[in-house]
Amino acid sequence: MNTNSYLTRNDDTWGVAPSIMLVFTISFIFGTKILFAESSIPSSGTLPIEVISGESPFGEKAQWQQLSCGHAGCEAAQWEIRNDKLTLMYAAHHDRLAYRWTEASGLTVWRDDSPEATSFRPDGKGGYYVVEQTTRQLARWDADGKRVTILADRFDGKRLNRPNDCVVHADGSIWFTDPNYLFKSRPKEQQELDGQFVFRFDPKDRSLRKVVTGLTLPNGIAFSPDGKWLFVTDSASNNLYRWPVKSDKSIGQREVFATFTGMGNDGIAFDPLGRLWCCTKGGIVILSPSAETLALIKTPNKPTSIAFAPAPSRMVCVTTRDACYITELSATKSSLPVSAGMAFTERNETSEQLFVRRIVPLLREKCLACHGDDVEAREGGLDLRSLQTVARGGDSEEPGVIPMHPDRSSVYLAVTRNDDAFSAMPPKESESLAEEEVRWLHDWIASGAEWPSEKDQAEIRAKHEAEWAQEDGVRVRTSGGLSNSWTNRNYDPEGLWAYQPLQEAAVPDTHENPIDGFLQAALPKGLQVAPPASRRELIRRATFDLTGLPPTPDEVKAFLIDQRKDKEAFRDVVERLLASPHYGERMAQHWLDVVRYADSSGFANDFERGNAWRYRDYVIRAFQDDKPYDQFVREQIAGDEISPDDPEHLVAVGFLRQGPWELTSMEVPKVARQRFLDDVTNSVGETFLAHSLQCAKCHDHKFDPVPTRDYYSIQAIFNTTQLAERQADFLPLENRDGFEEERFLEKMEQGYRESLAELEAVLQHNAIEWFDTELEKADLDREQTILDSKSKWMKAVSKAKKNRKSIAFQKIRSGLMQQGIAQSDLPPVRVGFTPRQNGMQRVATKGLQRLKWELDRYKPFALSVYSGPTPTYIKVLAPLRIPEDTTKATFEEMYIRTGGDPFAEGDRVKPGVLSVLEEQVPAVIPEAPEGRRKAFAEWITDPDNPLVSRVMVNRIWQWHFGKPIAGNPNNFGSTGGFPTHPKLLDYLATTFMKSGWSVKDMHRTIMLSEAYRRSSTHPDPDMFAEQDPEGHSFAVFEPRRLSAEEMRDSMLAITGELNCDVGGVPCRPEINEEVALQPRQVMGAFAAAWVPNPKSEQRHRRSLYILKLRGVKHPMLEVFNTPAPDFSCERRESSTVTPQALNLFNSKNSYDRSLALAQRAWDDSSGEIGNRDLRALRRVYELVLCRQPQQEELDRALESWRSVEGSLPAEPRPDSKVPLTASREAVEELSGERFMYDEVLYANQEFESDLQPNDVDRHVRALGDICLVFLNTNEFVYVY
Amino acid sequence: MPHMNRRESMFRIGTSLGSVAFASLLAGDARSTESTGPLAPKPVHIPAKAKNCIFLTMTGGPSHIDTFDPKPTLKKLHLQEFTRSGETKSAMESGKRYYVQSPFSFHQHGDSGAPMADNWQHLARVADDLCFFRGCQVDSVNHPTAMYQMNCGNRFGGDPAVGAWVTYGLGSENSNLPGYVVLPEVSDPQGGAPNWGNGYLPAFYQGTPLRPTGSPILNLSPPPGVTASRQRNNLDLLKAMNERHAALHPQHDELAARLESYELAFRMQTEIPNAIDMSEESQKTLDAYGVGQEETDAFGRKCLLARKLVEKGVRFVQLYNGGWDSHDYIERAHGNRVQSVDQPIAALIEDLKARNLLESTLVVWCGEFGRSPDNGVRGGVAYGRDHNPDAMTIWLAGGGSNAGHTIGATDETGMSAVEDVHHIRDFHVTLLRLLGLDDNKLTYYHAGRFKQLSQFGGKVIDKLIA
Repeated sequence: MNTNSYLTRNDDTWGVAPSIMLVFTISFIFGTKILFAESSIPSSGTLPIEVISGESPFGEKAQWQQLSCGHAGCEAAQWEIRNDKLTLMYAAHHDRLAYRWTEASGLTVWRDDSPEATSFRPDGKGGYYVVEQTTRQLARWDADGKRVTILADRFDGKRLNRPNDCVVHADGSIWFTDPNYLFKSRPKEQQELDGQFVFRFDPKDRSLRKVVTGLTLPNGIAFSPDGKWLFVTDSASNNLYRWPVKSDKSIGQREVFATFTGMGNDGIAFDPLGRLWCCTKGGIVILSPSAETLALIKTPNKPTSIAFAPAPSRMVCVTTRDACYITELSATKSSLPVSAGMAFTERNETSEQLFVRRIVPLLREKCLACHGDDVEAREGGLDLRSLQTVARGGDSEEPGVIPMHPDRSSVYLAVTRNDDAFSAMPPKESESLAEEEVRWLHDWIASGAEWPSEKDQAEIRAKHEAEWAQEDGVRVRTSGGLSNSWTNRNYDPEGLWAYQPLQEAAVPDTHENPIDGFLQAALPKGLQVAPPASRRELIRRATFDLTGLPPTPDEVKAFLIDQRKDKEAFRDVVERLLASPHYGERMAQHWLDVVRYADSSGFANDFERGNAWRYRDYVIRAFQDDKPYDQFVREQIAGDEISPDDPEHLVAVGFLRQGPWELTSMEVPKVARQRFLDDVTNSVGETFLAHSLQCAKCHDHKFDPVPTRDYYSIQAIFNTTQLAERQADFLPLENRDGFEEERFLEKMEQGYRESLAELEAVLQHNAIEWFDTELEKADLDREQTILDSKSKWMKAVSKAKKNRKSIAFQKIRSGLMQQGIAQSDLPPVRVGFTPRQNGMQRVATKGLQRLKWELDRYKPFALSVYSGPTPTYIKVLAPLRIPEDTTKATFEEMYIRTGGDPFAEGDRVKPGVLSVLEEQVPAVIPEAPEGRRKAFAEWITDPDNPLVSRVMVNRIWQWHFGKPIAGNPNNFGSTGGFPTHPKLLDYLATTFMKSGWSVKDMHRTIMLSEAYRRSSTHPDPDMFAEQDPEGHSFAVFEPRRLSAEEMRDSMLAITGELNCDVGGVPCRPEINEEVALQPRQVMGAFAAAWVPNPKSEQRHRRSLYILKLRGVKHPMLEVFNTPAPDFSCERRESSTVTPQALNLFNSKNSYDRSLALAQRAWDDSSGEIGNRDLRALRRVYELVLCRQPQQEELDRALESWRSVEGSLPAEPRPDSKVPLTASREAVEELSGERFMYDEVLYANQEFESDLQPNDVDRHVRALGDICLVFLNTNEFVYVY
Repeated sequence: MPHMNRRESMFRIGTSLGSVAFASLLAGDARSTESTGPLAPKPVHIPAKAKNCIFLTMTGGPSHIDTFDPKPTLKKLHLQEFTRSGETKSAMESGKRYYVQSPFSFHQHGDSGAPMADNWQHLARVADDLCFFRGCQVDSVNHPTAMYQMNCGNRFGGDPAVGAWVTYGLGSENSNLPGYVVLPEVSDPQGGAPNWGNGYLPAFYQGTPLRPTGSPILNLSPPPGVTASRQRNNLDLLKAMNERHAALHPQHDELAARLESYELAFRMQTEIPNAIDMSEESQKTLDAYGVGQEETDAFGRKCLLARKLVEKGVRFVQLYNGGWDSHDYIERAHGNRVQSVDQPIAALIEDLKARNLLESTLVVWCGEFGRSPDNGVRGGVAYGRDHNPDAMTIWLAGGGSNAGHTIGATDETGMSAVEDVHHIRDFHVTLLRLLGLDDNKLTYYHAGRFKQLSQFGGKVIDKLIA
C-alpha cells in the first residue's frame, strides 16, 4: 500500500497563527497585494499546458483549449459517440447549464434549466443516468435532456443528501456518491440521512443498496478498467480509497490507495492506458495501477472532473471550478518516475472580479439598507460600505471579513444562517442569500477579499461588461429606477418571457387540434395520455364549465343516444351551451372574482353601492354577446371617455370603482384619494397586464423591470379620474323586475322619519324641562340669561311650527348659538334622552344616510367615473354626483410619492405606461385631463402588446382545466409561475386575436381538443405520478370540486326551484338567522339586518346575484371558498374544511333543498307501472348524479329510506317562522350603558316560505333525508 | 402553486382520519386528539414560554389617560384651548378644542407601583402580573382601519389576523376544536369578520367565532327534531355512496379527506358543546368571574370560556369588548366599560395562575389606538376624548412577558409616546416572539412576495420580555 503526500501551498492558511492573521488584515486594509502574484491567464482561447512534474501525458504541441469559462461551477465531463460524432458533455451545474460540444458544431447549450446535474453517464439506450443536486436524486434523462424517470431519491424513506458523481458498472448497475455538500448554504434543505454513502442502484429490480459507509465526503467515483475495483475519493479525509468488487455485487475490505494533502479532491477517471487521473487541489495527479505518482499537471484553476474520449480518439477533457478545457493525449505510451509537486495559486483577479461582479451588487441589495449610509438605521454598528469598516466589524468587534478565511469572517458566517455565534442575515428568511450568493462571498473572501478602488472597479466592470452581461442576464430599458444600479441591473431572460413578442411557432401537425399537438410535443417521453372521458362525464364537465349548472336528465340522454361520432356530437353540445343564457353568468362570475366585485364599499360604514349591479350585468352581457375582448377592456378602463353618452359605457367603467373605498370625517381626504389611486393602479395592472404593480409603489420592483416611476406614471393616467354615480338611463336589456321591492326601503325610510319625529317631540319637551330646571337652580344673574334664552327658544319653536318644519330642534339650537347665545345657556343636543332614545336617534339618522345609497339602486345612475379636476370632499356620506360647481376642484400634478407616502413628493411624472414595453408598443398619452384613460386603454389592447392577449387566454385556459399555463394569472413577472407550455400559450394568444378577440371561439378551440375531452382517470396512475409529478402535462383531466356558487345553484336547479332570470338588482336568499340578524357596527350605529326576499323565486336566483356586502358574507359561499372582495382572486381555492360538512349536512338550506328534491322526485315518478319508490330513487340519481343507478345502489338507498321513515316522528317539526323584528342590544358609546331597540323587518311581513316538512307526507319527508345524502356525496360535489 | 389544495387536503386526511383520534374521543379524552396536517402542532422557531394567547380587544380605543397612564398636568390645563395643525388633519379635528382632565383618580398598586385608575378595583390585585407598554403607535385615526392594523398588521383589511398567523405558525393542540377562536360582542366590530380572517393563508387558520347567541358555530347541529341516530343513518348511507365512488377514482385523494371531514363534523357536534359547557364550573368560580352579575356577566362568561378553551388546547382566543369610543361623557362611559371587564379579567389572570397556566398563556389587553388629551365641543356638556394613534396603553400578562414593569412613556399630556416608542409592527413581532415565533420566518408567499404579520419586518421590543 502506497501513500502519496502532496503538500500544497494553500493548506497553510488553515493553520495561520492569530498574530500573522493580524498582519494580513492590516495589509488588506491598505490594499497591498502581498498574497498573490499577478496572474496572466487570459479568459478564453488556448493556454499552454504546464507539467509540474513527471512526463507529460499529452501530445507535444498540446495546449488547453478552453471551451467555456466563468462558470460558478463546472463538472461532469463525459465523452461519447453520438450520431456517429464524438461528443462531449459537461455541466456548469450551478449555472444550471448542461453543454454539448462536437468539433463540427462547436459548443451548444443542451439544457439551460439543469437541476444542477453533476454527472451524465450514457445508459446504453441513447439516454443518460444523471445525478441532480437540486432535486437530490438519481434520474434517467432522454437524449434531449428531458428527465424520463426518477430512479432513486430516497433511501429507507429518507431523502438522499446530494448525489454528486455516478458511474455505470459493466453489469449495468449505477453506483453513485452521496456527500452532504451545500446543506449549510441551503438552509431550507435538510439532511435526512444519517451519513454519507456510496449507493448502488440496480435498474433491473430498481433496488437501491448502501454499499459504502464510513466516509466523510465521498466525491469522485470510478471503476478500474477491469471492473474489479471501486475507487472513491473522500474529499474531507483527503484519502482515495478502493474496494474489491465481488461477484455478488457486494464489496470487500476498504484500502487507502492514495492520500492527498489538502481537502477538496474531486473527480477521478482511468485513461485508456489504465492510469488513474485524480483531481486534487494541487492539480491533476496521475497514478499508476500500483499507486505511484506518474505526473502532476497544473491546471488553470482547481480541477473538478476528467474524461477520456473513446478510442481511437485521444481527446481528454478537464473541467475546472470555472471552466472547461480539452486537449489531446500523446500517442505514445510512457511511464515516468514520481516527483513531488506544488500547487498553482488562485488567480488574484478572481477576487477583484468577484467583488465587482458579485459582491458589490450583493452588498447593495441585501446588506446596505441596514449597514450603509444611514447611521440611524445601522444595525449592530456594522458598516459594510468600505474595506476598513468591514474589517473593523460591528459591535461584536469580530472582524466582518478576514481575508482568505471565510469560516472566521463574521459576515460570511452570518449569511450561512448556520452559525450559533452570529444571527442569521439578512434577518428575513425570505431574503436569505441564494446558495450561489453565499458561495460568491465565500470565494471572494477565500481568494483574498480584494476591494478595488471605485476607479479600479469601474475599469474592471468596463473590461468585462459584455462578457458578464451575456452570462448574468440581459439589460432591459425602462423609464429608469430611483437609483442607477437598479436602472442598470441585469435580468435573467427567463423572467422576461412575458415581454417577448408573441411567437408564431410552427403548429405541430401531429393532431387535428393544434392544442393537442403542442401538448404532445411537451409530453414526458413515454407518458401515455388518458383515454377519452365517457359521454356522461363529458357533458357534465362541459355544462358546469360553461354554465355553472348541471345538465338536465334530458340533455344527458340526448347526448348519450346521439349516434354521431363523439366529437361531432360534442360540438353541438358546446354550441348549445355557448348560446345558453347561463353562459354569460358563468363567465361573469370568473371575471368578477378578478375585479373583486362587491355591492358595498367596506370600512367603517360599508355603505351599499346601489348601482354596482349594473356593472355586474354589463359583464354578463359582454360575455353573453361575445363582445370582442379588446373592446371589453377599453370600455372598462375608458368607456366614459370613448362614448360619454352611451349608458353602457358609463356602466362599464364601474370596473375602476370596484375597490373598497370611503371617506368619513375621521379620515384625511388626501389619504383617501391616494387609496383610490393606488387601488386602481394595481387593479388595472393585475387584471389586464398580469402585473402586481403595487410592488413598485414604495420602491423600484425588486424582481421585475417595473420602476417606481412607472407606477406613478400609470397612476397619473388616473389622476384626473373622479368618482361619481353618473346619470345613465336604463337600457331595455337591463332587468328591472326586482324594482318593486323599493317599497320595503320606503317603509324603512318612513319608519326612521317617524322615529325622528317622535324623538323631536321628546327633545322639545325635554328642552322646556331643561330650561325650567336651570331656572330653579339659577342665581339672579343667570336667571335673566336663561329666561332670555328660553323666550328666544320658544319664539323659534313657534316659527318652526308655523313653517311646518318637523325636525327643528337642532336647527333652533344652532341658530340661537349663532345669535350669540352661549352653549351653556341652551339645552344640550340630546337633552334628556334615555339611552334607548339616544340609540334610536343614532340608528334612524344613520339609517337614513344608508338608505340614500340603497335607494340609488332603482335610479338610473351608474357606479362610474368622469375625467376632470379633483373636487374637495371632507366626507362622503351620500352617493356622489358630478359636481356642478367645479371651482373648488383642483388639477393635480402627479409626483412620485416617495416611500409610498402620499405627502412625500418626489419627481413629477407625466402619464405613461409600462416603460419596459414602450419600444415595442409606443404610447402617446395626452396630458390634458381628458383622454388619458382612452389612450392607455388603446395601448393595453394594441395587438402588439404581448401581455393582454396572453393574460386573457391564460385565464380562459384555467377556467377549463383548473390550472393555468402560466402559473399565476395575475402575475406574469419573474415571481409568477412561468408557462409550462409557452408555445401553446402564444398560439392561443395569436389565435385569440385573429378570431377578433372572441372568447367564445377560444372556448370552442379548447373544448374540442382531445386534452379537454380526456378522462380524469389515467390508465397507469403510477407511471403518471412518476413522469408528471407536478401535473403539468394535461395528460389527464384533473377533477375539481364545484365552486360554492355552482354548488348552491346546482342544488336549486336540481330541485327545480332555480329562478333562471338574468341580471337585475341583487337578491337576498335566506341565510342562517344568526348571521342575518347579527348586529353590525357601522360608524356610530348599526346596519340594518339581512332580510330575505319575501318570495321563493326572488330568493332562488343564481348566486351571482346575491347581494355581496363586504361586511356580511353568505355563510355557505364563504365556507366553500368564495373569495372575499379584498383582493383580486386569480384562482379559487378549494380546501376541504370541516365547516363545509357542517354547512352542507346540517343547514336549513340543505334540508329545504332536500325536501324540495324529494317532492320533485316523488311527483315525477307518479303514474307509471311498477315500484314508485324505486322510480323516485332513479329520478334522484338522474337529477343529482346525471346517471342511472345499479340495482345494489338502489337497494342500499331504499333500505336507508325505510330506516329513516321508521324513525321519523308521526308529526313533523313545526315550520320555522321568520322573525318580524330584530331586537338590537348594544352598548351606547357615550354613556357606556346598554341600550336596545327593535328593528322592524318589513319584508318578512310578506315572507312566503319554501316547501316545509308540514307540506309533505311522511314518506316524502323520509325521502328528503336520502336526498340530503345525495347532495352531500362526493359524486355530486366533484366534476370529473 | 399547482396541487397546493390537493396537498392541503391530503394533510387534512391526517387531521381527521383516524381511528386513533376517534377512539380517544370516545374514551372522553379530547386533549389527546392531537392534530396532524396543517393544524398539527409545529416546532417553535425560538424557545419560548407562551404556548397560548388570550387577546382581550377593547374596541373603540380605550383612553390610556383615564386608565393606566395618569396625566396630572391635564388638571392644570383643563379647558385651556388646544390647537392641532398639519396637512394630515381629518374633519374630526376641526372646531375649537380644549384640554380635558381625567375624571378619575389614580393610585399605585403592587410592588411595581403601577398607577391605575381607581375604578380598576379588581385588576389592581394582579398589578404585579402585568407589564404595561406605553410606547406603542399606530397609523390610523379611524376605527376600522385601526382595528385592521391591530388585528392584521395592515390598515386595509384582507390580511391574516394575528391569531391566524399564530395558528399557522404553531398549529393546534386539539383536532376537534378550531385552533383560533373568537368570542365577539353581540355586534360585530367595525370592519367585521375580516378582523379575524385568514386573509391569504389557507382557510384552516381562520378565526372561528363562537357566537354568544344561537348555535355557537354555524350549523353545528341539524335542524330541531333531527336525532343523532337519524343523522348516523344518513351518514352511513353517505359513507357507503362515497366509498363506492372512491373505489372508481383511486387517484383522487381528496375524496377520502372529504369523507373524513363528515366524521369529524359529527364528532364536533358533541365536542364543542362540551367544551363550552359551564355547568362543571363551581359556583365559586362563576362568582369570581362575575358570571350572573348584570354588569359583568357577558364578559365574565367570555373570560371563563377563554380559560376553558386554552385548557382544551385552543391556541389563540380573542375576546371582544366594545364601546370604548368615549368622545363624550367619559366618566360614565369608561366607568361603565371598566366595570364590565375589571372583575372578569382579574379573575381570569388569577384563575390561570392558580392552574399554572399563566406561565404558558400570554394575555394581551389593548384597543386599536389611544385617546387624545383634548376634545372638541361636540354639543355635549360632559367631557370626552378623541382618537389618538400616537399614544396608547397595551398591557401583557403571563407567557414570559415582563410582569411588574412599565415600559415606555408618553409626554406630559399623553398626546404622544416619547420613550420606547415603537410602531405596532414591533409589538406584533414581540407578540410572536413571546410565542416562540420569528416574524421573519413566519412568512407566506402571496401576490409576488413573502408576506408577514409585520408587513415588512420589525424589531422585537426586548423590554417587554422577561
